[in-house]
Amino acid sequence: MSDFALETIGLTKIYTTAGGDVSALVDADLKVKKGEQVAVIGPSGSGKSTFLSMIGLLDRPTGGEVIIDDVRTSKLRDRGLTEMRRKRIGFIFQQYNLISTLTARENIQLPLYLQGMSLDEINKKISSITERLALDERFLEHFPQQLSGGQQQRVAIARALVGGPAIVLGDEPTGNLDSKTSEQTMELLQELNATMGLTMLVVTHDMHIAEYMKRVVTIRDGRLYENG
Amino acid sequence: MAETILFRMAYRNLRRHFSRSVLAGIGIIIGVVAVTTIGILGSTVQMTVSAQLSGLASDVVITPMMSYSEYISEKQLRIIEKVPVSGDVTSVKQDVAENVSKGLHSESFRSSIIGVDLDRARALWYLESGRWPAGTRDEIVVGHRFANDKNVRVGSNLYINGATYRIVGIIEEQQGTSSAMLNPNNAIVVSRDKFDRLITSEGYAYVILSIKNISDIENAKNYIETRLNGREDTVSVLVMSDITQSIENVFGTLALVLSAIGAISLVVAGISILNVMLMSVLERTKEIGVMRAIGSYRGEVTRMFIYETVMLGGIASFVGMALSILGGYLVNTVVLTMFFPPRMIAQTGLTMSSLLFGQQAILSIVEGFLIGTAVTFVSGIYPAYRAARMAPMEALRYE
Repeated sequence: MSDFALETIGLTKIYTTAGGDVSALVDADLKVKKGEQVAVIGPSGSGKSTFLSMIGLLDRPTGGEVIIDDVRTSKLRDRGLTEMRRKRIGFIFQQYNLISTLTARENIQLPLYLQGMSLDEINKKISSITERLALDERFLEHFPQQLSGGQQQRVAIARALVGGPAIVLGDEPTGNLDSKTSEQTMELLQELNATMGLTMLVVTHDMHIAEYMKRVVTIRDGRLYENG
Repeated sequence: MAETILFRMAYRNLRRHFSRSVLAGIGIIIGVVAVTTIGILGSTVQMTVSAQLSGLASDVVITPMMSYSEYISEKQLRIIEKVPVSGDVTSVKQDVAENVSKGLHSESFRSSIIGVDLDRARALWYLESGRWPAGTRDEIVVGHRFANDKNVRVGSNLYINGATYRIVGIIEEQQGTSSAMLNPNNAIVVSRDKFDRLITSEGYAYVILSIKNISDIENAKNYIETRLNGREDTVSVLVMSDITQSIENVFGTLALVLSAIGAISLVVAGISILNVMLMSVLERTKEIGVMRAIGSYRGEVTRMFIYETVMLGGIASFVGMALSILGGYLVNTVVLTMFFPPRMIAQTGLTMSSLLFGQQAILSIVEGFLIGTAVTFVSGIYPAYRAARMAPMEALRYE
């Protein structure tokens, strides 16, 4: 067992377009220790989202390897990749991406249902996560569209964490929130890192948000640079 | 347990697009009602015709082979009467009386005249008025239509080939449940000895064997063929069940063809479901991306959409099935009143409930439900497949 929750080796993504090949990611090497917090920053079009989709196993790289919890993912088929996402990765999106036909509680339950847990187990996990995130019981029965942006993002964070992932990936997690709610959200993630030993990797273009993370890497023209 | 949440999502999505779901469902409802109602109509016609023909099914009719003789002789009749199966033998003399009139000076007309053993006549037909001829008196009965057409009633006299006969009874109109060929509706019916006095004939026009057990029909036929057609074909043996079976088959095929025409509306409904589900997949592209990101297998995404279509199809088909009973009732009422007089329905012993909830009608109703659900299921496969094959990242980026 290595100390790393996530490792990328020579990660490369080339898109083939009508105008020719475009390198979105070139030879990206990164090692993220268990419990570490990493911010990946860079301007729009720098390759942040491509990098996130590769390490989140949502897209396949053209070359290189993504290792999560010691599992080399390049040889995995769709079912294996899905299994990895289900059990070892939690996603927090900029637009929250809650399922609109499910209540806040059901959104949090969703990954647990997919893992095949019994209702008893699900309820225990939900109690534990809502307590930890100080989620108000009242709004758990509301549908996403009835909640504020901050509330929706807390539900999204709960959904990302409830299955006990090895790593949580955030794609501009505060991008749609006002500055006060953004701060509250980042403080919450900090606190969860401290109490749960959460491994986090967040991509953002906002330096202020990046400053909450202990380690910052920059991505520019598809290449990763470690910030001193 | 994943099914719990997938099913819930499918149900909520149907409810969220209530109007759209209802409109798509109406297509299926119409299709199911069309297929089922036509099926019920087909089975009603088939059952009614079958019931009417059932009286004929056990009959074997023996007619003379014209190349040999115009009549069945007394000797041949004796052989037929010895048929080694249980049943009744009705030997019939039938001819045309050339000179019939209502009065000595009235205009004469021709009429069919049947000479039959009156005991057999009693067993075969009911009188609508009067009584059967008694003893040796010069009494006759006539058929229903004969009485109407010639405007005669019980008590009227008829002059047949110069002799006077009194009409003592009128036979109820026969709708085909009586023995084959032997139809007294338009005829004068007399006992065989009176027939012989009126008409010169050398034998019988035909003999009807009404066999008790249908399974004995082949034996009876073989016996007659062996005994009477051994050296030379002298008689023709007609098994009525072969004919009734053919007629029933024709109606069965007709019902099937009509149902197939009704099924076209289900195909149209299926295309509408396909369209609705493709729209649903497109609208929920991002949701599919999220589902895949948090760990839904392709199969789970497929099932979520399949549940949605099957739920829509199942509910619509169920409503269609319920409406089909009403549709079947209306169609049966129209068909029975327009094409089958109440007397005929009464004779067959069929009722609205036996037609609507008979085995065939229930089969049509269940078939309608299953076909409706199957059509929606098939329509949902392609959209569900497309949803499951979406690349997670592209689906997440979809706006």
